[in-house]
Amino acid sequence: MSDSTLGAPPPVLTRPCKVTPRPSCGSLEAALAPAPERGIARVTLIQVWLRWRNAFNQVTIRRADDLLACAELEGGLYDLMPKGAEIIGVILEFDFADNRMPQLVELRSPDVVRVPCPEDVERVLAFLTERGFITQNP
Amino acid sequence: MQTWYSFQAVPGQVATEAEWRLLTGDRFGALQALCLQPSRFQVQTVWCPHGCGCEHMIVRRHDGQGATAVCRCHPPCCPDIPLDMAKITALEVCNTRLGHALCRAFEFNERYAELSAPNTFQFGSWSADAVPAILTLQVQAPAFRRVVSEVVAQQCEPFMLFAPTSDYLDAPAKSLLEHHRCAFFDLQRHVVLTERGTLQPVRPPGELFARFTPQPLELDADVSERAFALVLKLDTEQPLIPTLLTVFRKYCIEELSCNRIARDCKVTKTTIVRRLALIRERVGCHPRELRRFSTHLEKLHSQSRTEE
Repeated sequence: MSDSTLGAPPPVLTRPCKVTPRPSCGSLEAALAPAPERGIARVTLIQVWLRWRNAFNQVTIRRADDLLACAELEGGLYDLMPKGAEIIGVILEFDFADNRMPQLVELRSPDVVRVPCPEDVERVLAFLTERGFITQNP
Repeated sequence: MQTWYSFQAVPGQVATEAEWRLLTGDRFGALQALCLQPSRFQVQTVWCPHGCGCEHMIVRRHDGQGATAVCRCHPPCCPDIPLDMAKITALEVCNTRLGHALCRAFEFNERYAELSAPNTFQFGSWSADAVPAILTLQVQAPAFRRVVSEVVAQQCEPFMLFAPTSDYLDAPAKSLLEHHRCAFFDLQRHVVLTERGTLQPVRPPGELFARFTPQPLELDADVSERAFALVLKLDTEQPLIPTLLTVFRKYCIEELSCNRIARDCKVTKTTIVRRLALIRERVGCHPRELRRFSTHLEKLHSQSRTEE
C-alpha cells in the first residue's frame, strides 16, 4: 500500500535529521503537551502510519481529528500504537499562540520532517527535539 | 525472549527470512527448526530503507539467486537495491509443528483442531479429562481480548489458553478466564526454546497443570488400589525389563508419553506399548484411565517403597 501522500501536507521543508515517530522518553501525551514558551498552544496527533513486519509489507493508517482523545474514549479496545508494529510516520497538528491557522507537520522515519511554513521551522524543530521526536539535530 | 515476541509482530505469521532474523536475532535457527516453513506466498515489494515513501518493486533474477528492488516513485529517487534470497523468501509458522513441539514439552496428548477464532487452534489435551490446550497468536491487544471472549463462549468446559507472551492479557481477559475456571500460560515464561529447536518446560507439567488433573473419588480410589496391587503381583510373577511397575509409574503416575518412557528406559516404543497392553489386560481398563488417580497412585507407590 503506497501512502506517501495520503493526508500529508506539501513538502515545503525537508531537513535531514534522525526522526523517531515514537518518542523514546515518556508517554505520547507528555510528549505532545503544549509549549507556551515557544508559542505552541496545542499539539494534536492526527495521523499515524504503522508498519508490520510481515511478508505483505502491511501498513495500517489511523487518522482522526485527535487520535489520543479517540483512543481514550474507546478505552482498552483501541490499541493506538501496538507494540509489535513499527511507527514509521506521524502527522502532528500545531496550534500556535498567535492564532494563525493550525499547521500540519509530518514526521517520517528515518529522516524526514516536513514543516509547511518556513517561519515555524525553528520552533517546531526545537519542540520536536526537546520532546524526543528528533534524536539527532539537523 | 525475542523469539516469542516475534509472533506478536508478524500479522498472518508470514514474513521474509530477513525479517524473522531481525526479530529473533541469534535465535532464528532455533525458531526455524521449531516451526518455520517456506510459504507459497511470493514477496512482491520491500520497504524502502531510505524512507522515500514507496515500497520498492521486486524484480527477480533469472538465475534464481536473488532480485533487485526498484523504486516506484515518479520520478524514481532511490538507486536499485540488490536483494539476496533471505530478503525475498517468505517463511510462515507451521501451526501443527509448533503444536507438536508444545505437546512433547508439556506431555499433552496430541489433538489438533482449528478454532473459529482467528489464528487460534487446539494443539493438545491434558489428563484423562482431556482438558483442551489452545494456542492463540495475536498481534494486537483488542484482537486477543476478542479471541478470549469467543473461545470462552464456545468451550463448555475449562481449558488452558496459551499465547507467546502475557503482553495482551489485561484485567478483563484475565477475569473472564478465571470466571470460567480456565487458565492462561505464556510461552515466554513457561517454556525454553533450545538451540536444536525443541521446547523444554521450565517446571514439570504435572506441577504446572495440577489444577487440571482430576482427583479420585472414594470408589475410584478403591479401583486404583486394586489396579496397583495387580501390577505389583504381576511384576513378581513375570519379571521384565523395564518392569511393569516402572512403566506403570511413569505412565500412570508421572503421566509421561510412550515416547518419553521409551527414551528414559532406553527401549523401543513398541516395548512400552506392549507393557501397557499387558497392564490393560490384567487390570481391565486402559492405563490412560488410571492417570486420573495419579495423586492417589503416587501415595500408594510411596507407601509400598517405605514398606520394602
